Amino acid sequence: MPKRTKAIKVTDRKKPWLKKVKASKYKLDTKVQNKTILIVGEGQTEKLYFESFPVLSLTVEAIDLQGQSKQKLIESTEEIVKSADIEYDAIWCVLTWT
Amino acid sequence: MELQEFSFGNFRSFKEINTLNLAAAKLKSKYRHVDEDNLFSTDNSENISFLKSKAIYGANASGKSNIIKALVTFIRILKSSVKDDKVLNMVDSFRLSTETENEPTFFQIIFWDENTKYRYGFELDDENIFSEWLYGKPGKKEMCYFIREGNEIIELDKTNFSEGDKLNSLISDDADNELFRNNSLFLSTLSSFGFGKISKRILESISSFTIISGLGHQGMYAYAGDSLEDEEKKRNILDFLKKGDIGIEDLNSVEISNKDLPEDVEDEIRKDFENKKRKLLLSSRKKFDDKNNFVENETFSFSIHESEGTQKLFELSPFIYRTLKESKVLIIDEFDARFHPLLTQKILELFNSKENKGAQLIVTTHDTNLLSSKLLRRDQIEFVEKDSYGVSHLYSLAEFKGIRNDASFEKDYIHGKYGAIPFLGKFKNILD
Repeated sequence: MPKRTKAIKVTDRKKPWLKKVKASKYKLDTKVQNKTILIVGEGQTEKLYFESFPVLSLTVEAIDLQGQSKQKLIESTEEIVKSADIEYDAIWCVLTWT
Repeated sequence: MELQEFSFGNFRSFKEINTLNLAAAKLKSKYRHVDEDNLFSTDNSENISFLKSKAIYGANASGKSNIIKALVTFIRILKSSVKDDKVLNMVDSFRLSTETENEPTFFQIIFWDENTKYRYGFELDDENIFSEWLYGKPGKKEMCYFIREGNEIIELDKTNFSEGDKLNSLISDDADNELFRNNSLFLSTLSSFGFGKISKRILESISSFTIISGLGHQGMYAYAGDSLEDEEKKRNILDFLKKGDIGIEDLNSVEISNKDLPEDVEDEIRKDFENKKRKLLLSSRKKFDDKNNFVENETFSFSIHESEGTQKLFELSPFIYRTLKESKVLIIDEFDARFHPLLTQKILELFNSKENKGAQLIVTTHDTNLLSSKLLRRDQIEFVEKDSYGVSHLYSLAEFKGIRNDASFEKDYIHGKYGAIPFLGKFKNILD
């Protein structure tokens, strides 16, 4: 007697009634969340440049240093991070040396 | 009747088969009451718990409403393919790919009725039904009740689905083949016969879904107006409006004819009333004197004087009430349109409450206030996103890795961590 099998015939594989035989199960913990990124620069040029990238989870800030030291940019960034309502996954400061 | 899932593929912006899943995932939320209240279970053989509600989020034009349209199309074709041969025009494939534009559209539902699991679906385009299938699982094993391919029944369970066999023999005797057209469903035809008991139950179960638009329409307004004639329904509508803090004391519908109109009414309006009576809804509100003492109730024309929000609550209330009372499925597109966020939250809480024993609510919304672990489990939140090829994808918040139990879903969503938000250009540039 031939063995009973539950396998689906190759020719039947694309039949509509076999396209979704099993009920869906949630693929728990498989999708990677977008990383939230903060970029802080000292001028509008950097802001415009980075904002033109189509990245959903990107925040770009420009700080007017008004001639103060570069250290001020770091301090301002720390303040932004502290007052933000989310935790950024990556934080970048863009410094320009002349 | 419990809805487990609805799948659709090659329909409008959805290219592949996507599934709206109403079964609960095996996960734990931050708050125990959310896990206990927001689900319900039955004595089903697979120990499935069902979600009492599901909220779908996505940017504009992401494809949210196409999920609702897929359901509407599926149900409407099931209900009327026998008598209406134009109904297949509602089918629209994914047209942004040469791979799918001329291929059939796929629909399949899995639901439970008295602890029997049914899997029913069909594939079709705007002219022909190519295939149709029904599986049932009354016990431990899924059985194929029938499969139709083209205009032929290629598989049939004569023992468990004898009604199908009866119709099939009628069809073979029917030389002109009027019973079985290429654009009508076998199940719908079968359910119109007295012996089509199982098919009738299936058709009635699926037809009992209510699908409405949060933007409202004439039919809803009329239905709510008619409900006022039933004392019990009226009491519930009024109760609902009072809980919605709207300040309406009473609602009445009166019939007016041509003669009841004041003399100075414009001819255009008068024409509308010619030869027929019209229903007019009147609402009563409290009137006070200069010392803020109640004087009497003042009457207003409901459609002219009441706010958009009040009118929407009025339109929705009989549907919400009926769904909860009869444990049915209610689907609302644009759930938050014209509503205060607190009001949408209350309606959602009503469905998620302990008191709700088996009604299910599915909504599309932009209201991020509802994205809270205090209100919803992660499997109750769904996102829709369109990729760069114009293809929509449906995914659940439960699928994401590393979401902390105390994470703020709302903030993380707004900041783009889950996708499904619009990528906005700089609107400021418009002013430059």
